[in-house]
Formats: sequence, C-alpha cells, structure tokens
Amino acid sequence: MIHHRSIVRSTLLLLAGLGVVVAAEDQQPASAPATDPTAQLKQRLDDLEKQIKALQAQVQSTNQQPSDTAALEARVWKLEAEGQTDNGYAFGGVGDVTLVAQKNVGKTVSADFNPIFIYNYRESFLFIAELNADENGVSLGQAWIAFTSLPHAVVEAGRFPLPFGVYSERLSPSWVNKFSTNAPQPYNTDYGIFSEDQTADGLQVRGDIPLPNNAKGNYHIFAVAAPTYNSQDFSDNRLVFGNPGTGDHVRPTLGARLGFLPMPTVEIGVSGMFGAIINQQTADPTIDDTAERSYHAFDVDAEYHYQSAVIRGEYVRMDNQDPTGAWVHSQGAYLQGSHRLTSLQGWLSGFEPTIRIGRVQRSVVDNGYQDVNELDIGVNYYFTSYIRTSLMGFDHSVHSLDQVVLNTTFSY
Amino acid sequence: MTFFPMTTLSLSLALVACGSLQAEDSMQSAAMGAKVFAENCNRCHEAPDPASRDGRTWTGISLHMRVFADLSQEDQHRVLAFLRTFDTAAIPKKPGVPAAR
Repeated sequence: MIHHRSIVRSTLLLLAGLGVVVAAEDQQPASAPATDPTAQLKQRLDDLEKQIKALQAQVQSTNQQPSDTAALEARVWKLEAEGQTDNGYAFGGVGDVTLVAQKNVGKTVSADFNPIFIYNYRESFLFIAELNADENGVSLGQAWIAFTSLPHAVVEAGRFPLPFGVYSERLSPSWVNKFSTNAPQPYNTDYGIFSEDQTADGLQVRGDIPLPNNAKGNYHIFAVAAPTYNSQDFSDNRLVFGNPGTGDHVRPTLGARLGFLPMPTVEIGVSGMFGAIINQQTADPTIDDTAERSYHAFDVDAEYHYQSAVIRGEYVRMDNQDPTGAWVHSQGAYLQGSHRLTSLQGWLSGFEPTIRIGRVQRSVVDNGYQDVNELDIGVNYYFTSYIRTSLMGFDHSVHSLDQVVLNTTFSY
Repeated sequence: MTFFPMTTLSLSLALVACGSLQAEDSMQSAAMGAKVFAENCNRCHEAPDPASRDGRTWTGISLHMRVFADLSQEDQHRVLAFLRTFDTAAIPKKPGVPAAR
C-alpha cells in the first residue's frame, strides 16, 4: 500500500511540476528577446512592415508636392493661353490705286482704302467693321457681330456680305478678286444683274457640315432687310441691298446657300433667295409705291483647284417686278481661270495670268443695257502675298465699255 | 527595400508619358492645322505668311476666316495652333513655362 501511495504521490508531483513549467513558459513576456529563430524572424518581419509603411507614407508625401505643383502650373498655363485670346483685336484692310483707260471717257485715276477692324472676345464673339473710303466719301462697308462658340454653326447679325453666290461674300475684295476692282459680269457696275457686290442688314446662321470620306459641306441661312431699286427715277431698276429704305412694312428677304465639297479642291454651291422690294420711285406719280413688289433669285457656283490654278464660275438668275409691277427677267454667268506660276523660279513665280468670259441677258433694257458679252484677259504680279499689281483688258460686245486697267492693291 | 526606387521610377515614367501625350496632341493639332490652312486659304486668296502676325492677332483673324471659309470650330482651333507655332513668344509651349510678354 505504501508503495502504491508513493507512486501516486510521485505521479501527482511530476504532473504538478510539469504544469508549473508549462505555466511559466506561457507567462514569458513578449518583449523579452526570443530565443526561438522562428519568433525572431516573425518579429523582424513585423518591424520591416512598420518601416515599409513609414516609407510609403514618406514617398506619398514627397510625391504629393510636385503633383500639386504640376497641376498649378497647368492651370497657370491654361489661364495664360486663355489670356492670349481674351479681348483680342486686329487691324486689317485693303487699298487700291487704279488707272482706267476707257473709250469715249479717257483716263481716270482713282484710289480707295477700306480699313477693317477685327475684335474678338475670347473665342466666343467676333466683331468686324469695315469702312469704304474713296473720292466720294466714306461709307460703312460691313459691321457685324458673330457668336462663334458652337462647333458647326456661327450666328451672325448686322451688315454683312450677302451670302448669295460666292462673289459678294468671298471674292469681292480687290486683293482677292483676280481682276482686282472689276467685278464679274453678273455683278458688273454698268450692266450686271446686281450693280455691285452686295451687303445686307440682317441675321444669318452658317457653318460647316461634316461629311465622310474627306468631303464636307457648308450652309448659310439668312434673313435680311428688303432690297431697293438702284435708282429712284426709274433709270436703273436693278436691286440693291443694304440701302436704308422706308418700307418697314415690306417683308424681308429669306435665302440660303448650300455648298458641297466632295474633295478639298472642288466646291459646288446652290443659292436662292426671295422677298419683297422696297419701292421708292418718286419720279413717276402714277406709280403706286405702296404696292408690294417681289423678286426671287437663283444662283449656282462652282470652283476647281489644281495646284496653283483655279477655275471658277457662277450663274445667276433674277426674276423681279419693276416699279410698275411688271415682271422682268435677267440672267448672267461667268467662267474664270487663273494660274499663279509658282513652278517658275525666283521673281517669275509672282506672275499670274488670268482670263474671264461672261454674259448677261435681260428681258428689258436696264440702265441702258440689255445683253452684253465680255472677255477679260489680264496678268497679275504678286510682290508679296499682300501686294499685287494687275494689268487687265476688258473687251465687251458694247464697245463703249471696253477698258484697260492698271491696278495695284495691297492688304494688311 | 526596392519599393521606393520602383515607385519613383513608375511615377517618373507616368509623368513623362503624360507630357509626351500632351506634346503629341499639340503637335498633331498644329500639323492638322497646317493642312486646313493650306486647303482653305488658297481657295480664295494667296495664303498669308504665318509669321506675319502674332498669336493674339491670329486669334481674331482665324475666327474671321472661320466665318468666311465655313470652318468647324475644331478646324479653326487647329489652324490657330498651327499659326501659333510661328509665334514662339506668345504662347507657352508646355505647362509651367510662362508666356513671354
């Protein structure tokens, strides 16, 4: 029994001793250096993770500063760029000196100067004003404001070149016109369908039409004040836009032009307009100047470019009532070619031969003319893109109109 | 231990890439503007010398020509970008370089 008890007591003491050892091991403090290699590695890993987090925070802090600086610099740059377009303005213009030798008239020298002021508010609004100054005085050529913030449309209001056909709007400035101050036949001062290039007071919406395959289109839709007759004494019943009229009750002209460019070197356009005419005839008291007179007009234009050569033409038809109310008809066309000899070397590359043929027909005599044919031949010489001298001859079926013209035009 | 240099390198590459993209866009726009300029100016008149005016003046004139040549707003911006490449003093060419006045 004694032996059995001693065995039990020894076993209990052993178990108690083991329990104390295990408890003592469990109660070992964490901060104490571990003697186990695995524990040492674990602790080292923990320390490294803390250092990495600290470094990450430091890198993030370091990189934040240049990022902010770059953003600030980009903003400054943007403001600078915007500042470049804020309230910008430019002066331009065109001047001419022209010597004309004409049968039965003799030689005359004339000069004119058209200053142009351009003002833009950022890229949102554009204001253009042009004066026409010559021996007869100063007049307002055009003055309009345009809203230009839309991607494919410009809204324009004021006095602007009439977008009927292309001559009045694009080609009439003497430094642009290949025959300087001499308009093509439908716009001839003496016998044309219009007495000159036209400006009109009103509103227009215009823009480009994106098309696939390198083609594009353009459009103009306009409403302008009604035209008047060119004279008030029945001598010239051609229509003129932009004259101040007293016929506020007269309905305005509505019109449009649609252009199509199947490729960048070709454009075909179609224009039309219609409306009433302000009748201010005073010479004949039998004419009822309160009765409404109407008109409608149609135009086709085309141009083709091959390197530095250009061929362009335009056809215009006008049907209108004269002051008495009778309908009259007129039509005219021209075809023009020019070739800047850029293939030649040196100063010879400044030459540009030009040729133009045209015709105007009308149902009645107006301003002394009815049907007129014209052949024009000339040569331009470009001293620079902005200064050009032209020598031109104009041969008409009505020989009293024949002219030789020497012109120098400059633009700036 | 390689985290810091790798991060710095990545960040630098990203910044360089962004800068290159921006420069490419600007150059691409100017190049397309040159094409629009060549195609449209000569249709009516002799093309002007791009170096004859400064960037601010070209803004108004390019808007003027946007109207008469019926250019899209995008094409007008391209033409302006092209014309401004001739005016090195007017517009900073990259962020952070202020314009010379």
